[in-house]
Amino acid sequence: MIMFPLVLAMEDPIEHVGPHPITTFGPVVFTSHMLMLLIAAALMTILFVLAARNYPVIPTGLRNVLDTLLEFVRSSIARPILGEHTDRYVPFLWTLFFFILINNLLGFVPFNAVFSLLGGRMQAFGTATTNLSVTGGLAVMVFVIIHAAGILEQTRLQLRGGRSVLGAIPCGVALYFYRLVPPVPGVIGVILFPILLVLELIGTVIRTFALAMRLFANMMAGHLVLATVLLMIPTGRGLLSMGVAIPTVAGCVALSCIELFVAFLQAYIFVFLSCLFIGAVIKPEH
Amino acid sequence: MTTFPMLASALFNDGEFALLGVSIGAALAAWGAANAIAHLTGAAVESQARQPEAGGRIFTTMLIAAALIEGFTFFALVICMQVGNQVLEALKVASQP
Repeated sequence: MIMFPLVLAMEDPIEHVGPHPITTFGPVVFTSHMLMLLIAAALMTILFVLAARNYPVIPTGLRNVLDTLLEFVRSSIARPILGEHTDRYVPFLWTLFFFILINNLLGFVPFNAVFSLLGGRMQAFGTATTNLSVTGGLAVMVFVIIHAAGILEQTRLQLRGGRSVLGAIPCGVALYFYRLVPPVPGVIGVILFPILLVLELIGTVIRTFALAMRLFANMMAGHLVLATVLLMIPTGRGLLSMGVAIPTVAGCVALSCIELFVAFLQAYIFVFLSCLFIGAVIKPEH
Repeated sequence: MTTFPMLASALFNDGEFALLGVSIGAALAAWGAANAIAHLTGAAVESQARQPEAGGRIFTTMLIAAALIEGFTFFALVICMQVGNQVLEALKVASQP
């Protein structure tokens, strides 16, 4: 009987989803999640630049898949919510959707396992979205764009109303913060305005933090469950792990199907909620 | 009257019951989420049976609501995990000397 060394086993499953340092550039540590972010960015750039060259009237093959996904984001998510402002914000939503989707999907390609079997133990790959810093960075981007979109919209309305550029910017900023707060009539409205403004701003922060947390926790929970179920195999050695391996792997295949669905769903939910928040600040609600 | 503080300190001083509390919290979060999503799915399937033409939109709404519910379930689960890790580290530190 050939005993394979425990190359793919790990001591605890959290090691499977956390970032692993690869090299250090001075004080900066370059981790596996950063490598996955770079791989996803390179993949997206190459894919879309090559797909957009000599675009035929009727796309086929990979162009068709990308076109379908892009059109889905634009017509099902962006246009019902944003209306006439769709074309201004849809490139950002496209980038967000595909970045999150490709990062989620790259976590299911077993780079680590294949390279570990070929030579030595390697942990240089992982899933970038299982890191709260990665999803937090995306959420900070959405936060900045929500407020920037609102301020630019008010400035645009002021410019269209006839003010000069130098007068429109402060008026735009002030009007944006004025319109954030629901109007309360009377003297109570004046007193409550600062409190309600602070509440609205904190509400924006909490909603974008929830975006980050939702994506992070969904992805991390999926990979943790997969790692924990697979940990049943080396837990009992010998004859027990022979018997338990087949249903464990079958269960992990089923779990991976669910996780594939969750990867698409979480990317869709992130982009849909970002679009909802952006639409809430650029519409004239009052 | 003096046995109650002794009993309490024997039970709660070391921190094992903190682990029990964390586990019960995680289980409660999972139960609450499953309850809510089951209720939601029941309503969605019933309304799809009433009006099959609206089936696609109802399915989309159901998915969005389920993802939102799972969002704050995962808050609770991540908090439970963090507290559990801290309690485990505190137990390790306490058992060394």
